[in-house]
This record gives sequence, structure tokens and C-alpha cells, in this order.
Amino acid sequence: MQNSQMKRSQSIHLLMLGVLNLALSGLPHLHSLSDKPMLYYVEEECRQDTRAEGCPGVGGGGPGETKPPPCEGPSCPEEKAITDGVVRGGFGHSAGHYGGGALG
Amino acid sequence: MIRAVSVPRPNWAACLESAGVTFHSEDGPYWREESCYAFTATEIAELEQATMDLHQMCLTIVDDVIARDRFDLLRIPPACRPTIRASWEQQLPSVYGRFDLRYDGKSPPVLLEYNADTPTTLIEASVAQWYWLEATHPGMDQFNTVHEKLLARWEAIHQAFPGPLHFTGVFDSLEDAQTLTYLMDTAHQAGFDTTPIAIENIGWDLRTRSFVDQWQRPITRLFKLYPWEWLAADPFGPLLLQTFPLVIEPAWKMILNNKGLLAFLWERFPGHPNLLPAFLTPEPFGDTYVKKPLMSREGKNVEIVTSGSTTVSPGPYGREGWVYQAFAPLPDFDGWHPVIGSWVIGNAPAGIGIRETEGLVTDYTERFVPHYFDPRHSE
Repeated sequence: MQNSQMKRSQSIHLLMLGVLNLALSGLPHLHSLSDKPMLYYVEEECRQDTRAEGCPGVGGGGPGETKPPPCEGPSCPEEKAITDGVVRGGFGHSAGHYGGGALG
Repeated sequence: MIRAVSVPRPNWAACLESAGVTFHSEDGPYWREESCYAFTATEIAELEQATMDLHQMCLTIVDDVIARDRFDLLRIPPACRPTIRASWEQQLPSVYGRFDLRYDGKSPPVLLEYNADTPTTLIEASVAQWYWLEATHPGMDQFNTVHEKLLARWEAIHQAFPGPLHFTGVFDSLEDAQTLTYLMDTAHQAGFDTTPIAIENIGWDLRTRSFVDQWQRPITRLFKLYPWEWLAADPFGPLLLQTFPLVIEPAWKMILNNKGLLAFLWERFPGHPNLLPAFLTPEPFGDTYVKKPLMSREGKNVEIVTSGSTTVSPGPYGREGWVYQAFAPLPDFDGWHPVIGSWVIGNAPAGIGIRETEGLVTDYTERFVPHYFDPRHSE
């Protein structure tokens, strides 16, 4: 071990913390975890009517098993989550389940 | 290694906030600088060597799990395995990881667990405690090159994978948002064009069948402060596993972040001085051991079983299975139990951060305490 590996040779430059904090406060939150992303509505529909193959969670089950992909097309309830051909809200669900944030 | 009294900076809160640690008192007193830990240079060298050795052993385990197809034992879903294999074969880059070590300055450091996928306490260990050192112990040194090594690591990744890089996570969490911001800062300094995006705002473009950001731009390189197993379990998980953008940390970190790693390490390197005995069943231990979920965070669902008595940390984890580790209680310094978080950046040890708790499980009640070492004192 050499001391040069531990001690800094130059001062720290933080360029973005202040600027980015401002930018983050203005991030467009199309969905937020607290007010239910659109796919939660889809899941609710799937619970009531599982006919649509590919509904999130349908066909899943075993521990750790991943869910099938979101269904696509006009017969799929996920059209509710589509804006300009883009589906959003498909990530973030596990954070809601496990309490978000606390990652260690 | 001693726990010493230290005079807090009069403007300590402002100093922390200017460095990005705006969450220093969010859930009670998290940052504490009325005390600190002091090491000798010899002790720091021991921690550095242990970290290097553990990192090398961990890479061996990744190779072994993939070569012998041992994913079932780790309860890693079948859908994730091709992505893990491909990420390893392509040697997709890792930025960082944090080993949590038990150390008292008397016996060798031993691995308690490895947060290989989504480690936090990064700003505290990097810039915050460095500024503390400069202000309070100018003649001393600190085991801390986290910032410099982050810059170097991002530069190397940028050379191999130039282009825009998105940063995602749970921005509703102040700690996660600040950690992401700090990492974006270092990536930006290394040349990346960076964009933050909240995890729930990532879009799937049905026409191009690709992930897009909030401005419909393609996401081809993604740093995520969001566990792989959560990504895989979310509705978009299968799409991520199929389309395979560059994700940092890479998918092969799912093997190392799984606490089954502890059993595999002990099986492969039995008796190594930096490891504790660990198995996938409790039988080898009799009535005293620590039971940990294969996948868990922040000390949740950890059970300490001692002579039939059990202490349980509450939490939502454990359904995938458990690993059992020899009980090695954290050392006691003035009633506080420190755990050493030893950082690996790229493939090199980069520094330590210390969190202490009153209990034996390092959980949400932890407090970050800075450290220094005397470069003239080698014993």
C-alpha cells in the first residue's frame, strides 16, 4: 500500500450537485410511486378479468419468477398507459413493495 | 483502531449540505462527528489487502456459478440467467461495490456481506468525510480515494462505451436522489452526457421496441440505483432482459449481491482469514448462527440465533431462501458497534466508511462516523 493511493492529490470538484438538485426538483414526474402508476390500474383490471394474456402477474407465481411482458395492442388494457406510443410506469413497482429508497 | 472524541465543526450541517449530504438528519441524527475512528497505517493496509482479496475471490465465484450453472441455489430466476451470462461473457463494466466488514484492529477483517449492486453511503464516504478530515485533522490521512477512482472508472467506461448515459432510481428518496446526483456529477466530469430519469418514468416505445426517456430519446446506457431483482420482477423486467441495453451495475452483480455468495465463498475458500463459515443450511452451526435472507437490504429480516434465543430484524424479505453464517458480533466501542464499509471502485480498493449502531445488526438506525489514520504510525 502506498500513501499516494489513499491521500488525495487534488481537491474535489463537485460541478453539478447544486445545479442538478434544482434540475431534479423540476423533473417531470409523469407517474409517481405514491399516486399509482398507470400499470397499477392495468393490474387491477387483470385481477378482475384475466382473459388478456400477458397481464402483469398472470402466469407468474413461483418465488422470484418474473412476470410476462406487458401486453400490447388495442385489445390489451394497457392501452390506458400509452401516450404517443410509449408505455410508462413499468418500473418502480418493487420499490413500492419493499419500501423504496432503503438500498443499503 | 480506537473510537475517539472529536470536536464537531461549528458549521457541520452546512458543510455536509454543500457536499450533497442533505439527508444528514432526515430520519434522526445520521451523521455524527462528535466522535470518529482512528486507525494506524498498518490497520488501513490490512483493510485494503482484505478488500482486494475479497474482490478477487468474488470474481472467482461469479465465474464458478456461471460455469457450473448454480443459479438455482441462489434462487435467481431463470429469465435472468441468459442476461447474467451474457453480461459476464462480455465483461460489462462495474463501477462500484461495498464490502461490509467486521473489524476491531485485533483480528483480521471478515466479510459480513457484500452490497455489490446498489451500495449507498457513497457521498458520506467520499467527499463528506474528506472535507471533515481537512477541517479537523489536517495532519492526518484517510483511507479514501473514492472520488478519484470514480472519475477514473467513469473515464475508462466512457472510452469503451461513449454516448449518453441515463441515471435512474427512486428520486422520491432523498438519499437515493443525492447519491445518483453525485454519481452523475462524477460521470459528467469523466465526459458522459448524463440525464436523470425517475424509475417510474422510463418508457417503452411500442414502435421501436426500445426504452426511452421522458423526452422520447432512446435509453441505451443506464446506471440504475435500483436492485436488479426488483427490475426483473417489475412489469418491464422481461423487456429489459430481452433488449439488453448496457446497464450499470451489470447483471452479473446479481450473483455477488445475493447473500448465498457467503456460502459459496466459504465452500470455495474454506478457512480463509477474511471469511466467516457460511452454509445454505443451519445444521453445521448447532444453536448459534446468523440467518440472512438471500436477497435483503438494510439489515432487514436478519435473525441472530444464540443458544436457542432469537433476535429478529423486521422486514419484507426472505421468501427466496436463506443463508446461515457464523455469529461474529460486531466489536463494541463505547457501546457502539461499527461496521466497516470498504469500497471497491472498478477493481481496486478505494476507501472506507464507518457506520455504527447500538444494536448488533446494522440497520436504519445506523450513524455514519468519519475516520482518519496517522500515516506516521504503522503499529
